[in-house]
This record gives sequence, C-alpha cells and structure tokens, in this order.
Amino acid sequence: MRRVGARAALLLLLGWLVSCGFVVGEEQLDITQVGQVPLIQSPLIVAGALKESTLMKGADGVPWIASHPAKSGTVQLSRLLPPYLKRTLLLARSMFSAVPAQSVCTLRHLPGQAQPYLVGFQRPDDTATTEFNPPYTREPGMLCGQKTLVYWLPTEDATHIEVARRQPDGSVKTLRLPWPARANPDWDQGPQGFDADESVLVVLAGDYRTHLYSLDTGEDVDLGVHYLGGSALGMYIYVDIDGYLHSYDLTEQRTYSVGFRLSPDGNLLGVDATRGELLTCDWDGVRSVELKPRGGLALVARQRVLDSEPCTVGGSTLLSRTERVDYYHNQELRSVMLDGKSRPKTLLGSLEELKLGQLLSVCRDQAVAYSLDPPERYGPGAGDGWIGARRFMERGRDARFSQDCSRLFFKEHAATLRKLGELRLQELPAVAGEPWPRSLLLARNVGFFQLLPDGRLIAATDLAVLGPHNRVELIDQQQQSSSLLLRGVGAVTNALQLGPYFPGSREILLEVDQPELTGDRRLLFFSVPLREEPVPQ
Amino acid sequence: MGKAPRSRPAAAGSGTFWKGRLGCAAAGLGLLLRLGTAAAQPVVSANTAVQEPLVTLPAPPTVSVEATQPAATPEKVVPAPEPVRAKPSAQELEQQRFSTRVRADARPQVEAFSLEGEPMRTAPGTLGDPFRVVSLLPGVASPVPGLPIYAVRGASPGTSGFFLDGMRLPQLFHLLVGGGVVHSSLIEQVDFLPSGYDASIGRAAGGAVVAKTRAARDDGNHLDLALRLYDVSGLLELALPKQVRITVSGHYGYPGPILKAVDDRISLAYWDYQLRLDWRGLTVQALGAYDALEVKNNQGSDYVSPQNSRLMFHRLQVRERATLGKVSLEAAIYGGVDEAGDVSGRGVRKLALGARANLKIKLSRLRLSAGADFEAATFSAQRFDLGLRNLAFVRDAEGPARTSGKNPDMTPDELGELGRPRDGVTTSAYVQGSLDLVPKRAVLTAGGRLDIYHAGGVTLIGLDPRVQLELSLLPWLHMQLGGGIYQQPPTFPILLPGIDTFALQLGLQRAQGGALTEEIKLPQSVSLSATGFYQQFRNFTDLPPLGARVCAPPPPTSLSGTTATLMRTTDGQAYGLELLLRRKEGRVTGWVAYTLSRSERAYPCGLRPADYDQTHILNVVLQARLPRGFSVGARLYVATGRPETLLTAEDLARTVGAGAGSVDQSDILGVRNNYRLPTFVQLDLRMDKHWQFQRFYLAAFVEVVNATFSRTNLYLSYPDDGAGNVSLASKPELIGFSWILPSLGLRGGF
Repeated sequence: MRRVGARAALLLLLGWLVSCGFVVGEEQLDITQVGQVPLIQSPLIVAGALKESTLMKGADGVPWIASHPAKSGTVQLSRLLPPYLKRTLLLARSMFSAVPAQSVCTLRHLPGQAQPYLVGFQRPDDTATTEFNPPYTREPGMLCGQKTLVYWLPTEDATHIEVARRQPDGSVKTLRLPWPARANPDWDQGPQGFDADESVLVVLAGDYRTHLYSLDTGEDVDLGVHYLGGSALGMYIYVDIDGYLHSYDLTEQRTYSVGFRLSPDGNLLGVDATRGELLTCDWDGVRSVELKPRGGLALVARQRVLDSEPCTVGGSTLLSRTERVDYYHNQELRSVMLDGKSRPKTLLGSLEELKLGQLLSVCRDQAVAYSLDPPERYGPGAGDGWIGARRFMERGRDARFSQDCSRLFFKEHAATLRKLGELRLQELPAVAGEPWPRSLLLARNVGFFQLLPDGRLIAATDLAVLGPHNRVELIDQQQQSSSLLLRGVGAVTNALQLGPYFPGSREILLEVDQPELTGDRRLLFFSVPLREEPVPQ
Repeated sequence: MGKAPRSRPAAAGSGTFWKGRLGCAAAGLGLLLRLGTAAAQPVVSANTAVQEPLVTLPAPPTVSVEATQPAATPEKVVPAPEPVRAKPSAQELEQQRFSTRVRADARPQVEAFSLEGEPMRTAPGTLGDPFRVVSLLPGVASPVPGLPIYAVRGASPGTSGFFLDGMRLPQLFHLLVGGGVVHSSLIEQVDFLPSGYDASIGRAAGGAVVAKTRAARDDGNHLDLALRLYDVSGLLELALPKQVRITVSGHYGYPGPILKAVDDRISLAYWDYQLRLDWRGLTVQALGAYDALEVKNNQGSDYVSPQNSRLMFHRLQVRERATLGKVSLEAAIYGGVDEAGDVSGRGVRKLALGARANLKIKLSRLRLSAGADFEAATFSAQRFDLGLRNLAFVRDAEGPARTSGKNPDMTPDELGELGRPRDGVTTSAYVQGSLDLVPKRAVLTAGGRLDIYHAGGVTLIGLDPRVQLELSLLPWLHMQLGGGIYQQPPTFPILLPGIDTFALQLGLQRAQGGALTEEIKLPQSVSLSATGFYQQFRNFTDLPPLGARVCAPPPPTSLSGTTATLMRTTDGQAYGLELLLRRKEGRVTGWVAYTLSRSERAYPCGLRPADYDQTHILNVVLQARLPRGFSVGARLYVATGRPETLLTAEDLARTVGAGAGSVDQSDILGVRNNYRLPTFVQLDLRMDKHWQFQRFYLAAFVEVVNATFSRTNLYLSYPDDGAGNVSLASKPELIGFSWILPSLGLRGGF
C-alpha cells in the first residue's frame, strides 16, 4: 500500500513537472525590436496638416514650415531649427512659391478704407512684410514667385501689371508692365506664370496670343497663338494650333521651330534633361526631338525614334526625364531608355488580357507590381499583388519598390477601413526565374510607412487599437532591427522628408492625428537618427 | 453493461398498467410486462392486481445514470431475456419524465448536487431550463444579471466548456430570454464541474458543463407540448419495433412582443431542434440552434448599422457504445456547421468533422480510462458588421474614422485573424486511473491529457496533469481534493459558434489550481458543504475595456482588426469559499448557496479586481409542494456589483491630454476597477399547477423573473463633448436597464 502511494505520488510529481504549453510555428517578426525607450523623446510639435502647410526656406537656408489652415485667416510661420521662432500672420489670403518656398505672398483686407487691399510678400525670416496698397476696389489677382510678386486688378479694365522683385541684398524693386490688350481675367487671361529663374513673366492676351515679358528688360515677346506651352531647360516650349513644336530660348531670346508635328492625339512625355530634347508620344511612336535644331532653319528637327510603335498617354507634361520614360502601347505598359540603345521593354502585357485591376507600383524598367482586383473591390490601391505571374501579396496595399528595385515593401491583409496590415519585405531575385525567398515580416498592424533614402523605413505600427502601445518605428531591414522612434502616436497620416529640398538633411515632418480624421493634426519634426554601423568583429 | 433503470416510486399507487400481457419474471416477484402495439389491448388495473410493484427493479443508484458505467446493481441476477419494460402510471410517467439531474460535481464520493424531477423543472428563475440551474449554484457569478453569461470561480466566461453527449457545443443558451438550446425534457443529466475536474474533460480552462441526453422511453409513444408567452416547444418520443427509439424535440421562439415591452428597438428570433435515434448501442443524433438579434439604432445615431447578430450551429453524431466484460467502449464520429455573423447572412463559418473514442477498464481496485479525439475544421468568413461601433469602447479603441456601415466587401480583413480562411486541426488524448487506496474510503485519481491545436501555421501543444483524492472519512463526512492544470487555446470573452481555433499565436490560456470540498450530512435531509478554491490564470482572455480606457492590457501586437480590439490577455488569480446548505427531501426543499470570492487580474497598473469579480453571491431557492397539484417557488439572488473604473478629474485630464505625439502614458496610469456597480438584488417567483388525467396531463405555470424590476448595470460611460473628447465637466453615466421577465405557459402531453 505504501509503495503504491509512493508511486502515485511520484507519478503525480512527474506529471506536474512535464505540464506545459508550447507554441510552435508562430510567425515571428523577422527583425529584432531594439530598445523600448523612444529615440525621439521630445519632437518639435507644430499645429497643422501637411496639405495645409508649405515647407519654406529662410534666407539663411534654414527650413521653416508655414501652416495655413483653410478659412483660418492666418499663416503661422515656424522655424524648425533653433532658435525656434514662430510668427503668425493675419491675412485674407496667402500664396506660396514652389517648395521649398522662399516667399509667402499675402493679401490683407482693410474694410471701409478707400484702398482696402494690402498686397505683400516676405521671406519667412523677415520680421516685416513688404506691402503695397494698390488703388483697387476688388481683390487683386496675384502670382507668387520665390522672389517675385505680381499683382493686378482682375478686370478687363486693368491697365497695368504690378511687379515687385526682391533683390539679392533684400531690397525690393517694383516694375509696372502694360496689361495685355483686351485680356479678360474672367477667361483666365492675363498673367500665367514665371519661368524657372523668374526672369520672364508669361502673359496671355485677349486674342489668346502668348506674350513673354522680360522682367529684367521689360521686353515683350509675342509668341503668337498656341494651345500648349511651358518652360523647361531654359526655354519656353510650346505647340501651336497646327501641332508644330517650337522652343523659345529665354537666354538667346530666339525661337526655334522644331517642326515635328503632333497629331491631335499626340502628347509630350517630357524633356530629356541630359540631351536637351523633347519626348513625344504619338501614332508614330516615341521620339526624342532636338529642341534647338542645328542650322536653325531645318523644317524638321533631328529626332531619334525610341519606339516605332504607336504610343498613348493621358496627357502632356514637360517633366524632366533623365534615364527612361514610361508609356502605353495600346494596353501594354512599356518603358524605353532615353539613350535609345536598347529596345523598348514591356513592363506589363495587355491590360485587357490580364483583366488588370490596378497598377500598384513601377520600378524603373525592371519591375511592375499590379493587382488583378479592380479598385471597386477593395478600394483604390488595394487587392492581391502580382509581379509577373507570381502573387506576392494577399488583399494588401501600399506596394512600394526600393530605389534599386531589388526589394518590395507592402502591407498584407490590409483591406480594412483603417488600412492596417502586416508590413512585409519581399526580396526580388536578380535573375528572372530564380526562386523567390520567403517574404519577411517587418511589423504588424502597420498604417503609414515611408522609405528613407538610405533604405530604412519609418512605419507606424501596432495600431490595431489606439493606445500608448502605438509605435512609430525606424526599421532597418539591412541590420534586421527596428528601433522605437515614438510611442503613443495613434495615427500617422503623412510624412515629408526634408532631404530632397535641403540636401543632406535627415529631418522629417511627421503628420499625426490622434483621433483620426477629426481632431487637429499636428506635425512632429525631428531628425532621423543615423544608422548605427555594426561593430566590426 | 446494460443501462440501469431509473429511479421510480416504490409503489405504483393509482397508476395503471395497460397494453400489456403478463409473462415470466426473471427476478424476485417480477412479472414481465411485454408491451403490445395495439391500443385495443386489455387494460389491467394495478390498483386491484397488486399493491407492490409488479417488477422488482434494482434500487436506484446513488450516482447518476451513465450508460457506460457499471450500475450499482448486483450483477448476479439472472439475466432477463428481454429488457424490462413497464408501462408506468401517468403520474409515475410524469415523475419519471423529467429525470434530469443537475450535479454540481461528478465525484460520486461527495454528495452530488442533483436536482431532478419537478423541482428541477420548476426551479424559480430558470424558466424551466436545466442549464440555467447552473446559475443558482455556488461559484457562479453572473456579471450581467439576466443574461446567461457565467463566470465560474473567477475564470472568464469564454473559458467555460459546454459538452453534450461528448460533443462540444459552441453555445448553451439562446440569446436574451431564450432558454437552453436543447429541450429540457431531453436532458438526462447535467454535470457542473467548476474546477478541479479530471483529465477526461479538456479544452476548457474554466468550468465545464457536461450534459447527457436520454433515449426515448421504450414504453410507448409520448408527446409533450408546451406553450409559453414567447416560445413553443415540443418533444415526441417514438418507440418503434426492433428496439428503435426516436426522439424529436425543439423550440420555436417568438419573443418579439415581450421584448418590445422592454425596449421596442429589440427584435429576436430563435429556434432549435434535436433528433435522437437509438438502436441498441447505436445512437444517431442531430441537433442545431439558431438565434437572430437586432437592436435598432436610436434616432439621430451617427452609425448606420444597428447592432445585430446571428448565431447558428448544427451537429450530427453517430455513436456506438459497447461493453465487453470489464471493458466498456464508446466511439463516435461527428460533424457540424457553426456560423456567427450578422442578420444579413454574412459572418464566420466553420465546417468540422471529428471522431473520438473512449475506453474504460474496471479492475479489482483500479479503474483505467483513456480516450482520444480528433477534429478537422475549415473556417471561412465574410466580413460582417455587428454594429459594434455603436459601443463607446470600440470607438475609443479604433478611432472614429472606423465608422459603421461600410461595405464589408471592401474591407474583408476587418475581422483580423478571426476572418482569415484557415484549416484547423485539434487532437487530444487522455489517460487516467482511479485507485481505491482504501476501499469505499479513499480513491485517488490521477491522469493527464495532451491537446494539440494547429491552424494558420501555428501549433499549440498542451500537457495537463490532474489529480483528485476523494475521502469518505465518516458516514456523514466526505472530503474531496482536486486540482491540476487546465489549458485551452485563445477564445473570445464569450463563446460564440464558429469562433475557435484562431489567434493561436497568443498561446494557450492556462488555469492551475484546485479545490477542497468538505460535506457534512445533517439531520432532516439537510446537508452542508464548504469548498475552498484557488486558481492561478496565465494568458487568459479578458474583456476589452467597456467603459473608461484606463489600465487596459494592450491588444496583442500579433493580432489585427476586430480580433485585436476584442482580445486582451492577462494573468490573474481567483480564490474563494463556497457554502451550500440544502434540503432536498420533504414538502419544502431548496438551498442556500453563498460564495465569497475574489478574482483578480494583473493589469498594467497592478493587480486589480477582474471585470467579473463579485465578492458576495447569495442564492436562496425555496420550493414548496402544496395540495391540489400546486407548487410555488421563490429565488432570491443578491450579488455584489462587478467592478468598474471611475475616473477622477486627474485621470480624466491625463486621458484627455494624451495628444498626438505625446509619450503620455495616461492609458495605463489610471486605476482600473476602483468602483463597484450597485449591488444587484433579484427576486424570482413561480407558481405551478398540475392536472393529471387518465390519459394525459396538463400543467400551467406563471413565473416572474426579476419581479423587483431591478436594474442591470452594464458599465460606466463618460459622455464626450461631441468632438470625440471626454468632457471634464461631465459625470459618468451608469449604462444599464431595468427589466422584468414574466412568463406564462401551458404544457400538456401523454
């Protein structure tokens, strides 16, 4: 009896010792989360949303942000680096030049006064606004450049165009130009814009002839009637009503007749910045056309046929291209190198044959991510993702290639209202046909993510439920680690990296919105920590 | 081993045997009554024939009847050539009809809490449902009074297991006023196992309710129909030739009018069915249930979808039982369909096929049992909208951007892991032995079980050792000690059909602990038992924060969508003392059940009372049989309110001030569950009247549940300022409703 009891006790003890539960096969993150203390403890917080803010550049090259919420009647200028300064302008209207804007143009209304409008412009670090009080009884029309302010009385009875230009020493000079004959602002006639150097003002006259006013010399160049035009590469490029292409060299003040004729369905694909050529897309294919024909009198400029098969695109652009250009041939997405040394490459076969739902992402001429799901199924940009005949993503969204096209980031299982999903990385084989490695799980419940120039990612993670556990992470897939940048940030809705505008800058503006779409948005400004290089063994 | 006969009165009284012809008896004075089939058979009145039973039946066993266990009957009785078949009197029939037992424990050594016959069916506050009797027992907390959601010994409601004839059921009750999903007269036995049970029950980290149905009686055909204010039910028993017996039963509910009297926004529909066919040892069963609940929005609500839900399950099982000497076997295959979703038909769906086998061997002083089961299931889902975003905590947790009423087709991943198509495999095996250390005085049972779950590339393995020691120290003093480890995969806070074998990456929920029970038999058929228990919980599924989002465990980072919103896991513990004073015989019967307990969870802000914790729970149940077929009953239920979070102004300021980009830890700084909802007092009354006729019976009853119109309090809500921010000036609002549930019914049959 005693032996039986002892055996039973031993059996019980052994049983208790082996009791346990195991989890086998759970998909773990393929990166290691490093540190639980946020790297960014106190970011600079600026009220406002990115779409209602403009990145500016002070006279000393320091970044500023101008927040101008709609209908708020204010512009708040915030200097993003020490010493942190903040200025608030009370305005009726504001305009900004191209980002990074060096000027903000302002309009103030003084009710009850004989000349109730004050027009001005200033740099972000100017302590005062240079203002003018024109004798207008209507709100003036305005154009805002980096260093130039143009304003006018927006009626057919206008007589002048007023120009104010900031000189390198900070002083402001004014210039009065004649109002183009019979130009009616209600029909979008009058001043249209500047060239890149703001040395020329493009004006549309009442007879639809385009004039170039030189702001330095006051000369007026009549380019005639054309229906499409814009400045690029130091030239004003335009297409006349017969489809002939022309370029006017702003420096030489000379018109070149390119002579190549676009059909009514033809479009411009941009300019080849390297070769100074214009890219056309028409029934006769993709062609690169010399903008300044040698000899000057050639009826047809020298041209290179990049693709002899018909080309279609949705519209014209004068964007600067440096390497390649994408276009459609029928329903086929193609890409061609601008040097013309290689044949056009088909990125994606016939859209109709594939019943293509959506084009998700294109990486140069190397890879195309597409979806067979139409946008009506899971929403724009969402669905199963494919590269070639291989499916890489299930009901995901936000497929983005790395800069070298060797990796693809995407959010899987993100067909949710909040667009959250598993952030994954798919390494793409260098040689077609090679097996794909397993996709790596970088983070869960990811909302916003953005690639940094050095290959790392900023991602808002763990967002399934709002709370202090929400994280903004800095994911370094190269070192297979993830660092905590911020904690408790519920919704990252956008981000603006300053690097493209301020070379060498590691700063970023993160737009966050705690109560999602309803509350006031804020911009968090901080410097992205440098990548920690691995210690040599 | 054949099935032992049920308890029956010693004397036939005024009963009448009919349709029979006399034959030879095999035992004692027994005369074999062989049933005929034609109604025109001669009627023999027992009044004039004999004063003693014509058939000497074995004494009723002290334990509940179980087909696969040896009956407590002397085995050396000359075997009868045919099963004993007797046609009892109508009254006898009536008393036998509802022989359901509800037992608080399956241990035979300790006096089991059993309730049978009329007292069970007429227990006040249960609406005649044997399953609801569980709520009257010690150790059971009802955190939402009035709704059949039970937290057993401090565990989460979702960790309870419901088993019927070996099959696991995804739900035991219909929604709101609907009773059990199985006809009460079909239930033969209900075992309530709050904790410390043996290794044969698995996949439940909390309590278990194990029920068995009965076969149709073999003495003829029977019909029982019941009509209540909000449903109609019926049970048909057919005794066919060749020993084939069939039972068909079910409910159909039409609770609309009575619910609209409480709240005109509520509409509810439910039904269930059961079919059981028995032939010798073979049993074929089919059962299923359906519920649809819709709560319309208030006028002016910003949310498009009403709160609505639809639950449904179906089961089909083929079971064979056999006894070969000292070995008894049970083998079964089963299949089922589970669905949960919205009333439009969208939702999650589970198709399952399983098999199990159990083996029991009885040796001289050792009883061995072992079993194994296997279930393969495939899950599919269409994203559905339950209208959960009408709930403040969901809005708070997911943000107002996630509004209700969006097209589910556009957001198929909204459910998260729950909605992912997956194949799930569950397999288990257990072995245990019971050794009579001292015959009839001390029994030690030890065993263990292995459970393996696999879905979505994740496999969970659980090893659970368990042990029980039963002591009969004196004829009037019994003790029982039981404990072990109890594990199960992640579950929702409330069990729902089609929602299992998901989110396995969270690991197993584990409860470990035990209970010690001491029972004393007192004079006048009174017994007193006391139970102390302690359980430690690991990785338990907990409620998401219903009111203030303070000190809530963060959602698991490995989950997404609605699954992440609802699934919170915590550790914790529960301990307490249960007292049960009961009188089970006599004209007046009843019991007093009192539970003093504490259930705690390790929240981010510290060890705090669990959301289900109710310190004091008192149930006083009294039933009296009156002359002329009347019986009355009353039940008094008093329970401490469950804890809630009452934010101070400082807490509110922290919560409101937690803005974007802030690293404020306001969500975990507050103190959770620092306030008790008001104590809930409920009085239930019931009166029955029974008429017995020669060939049929009639009964009427009136029952009022919560006659005191007490208010069920749900949680504290903090009104916002209209912009989604909690207003500092506003006072929390106690969300709840007052209710009363009258029931009036007629029942008849033969």
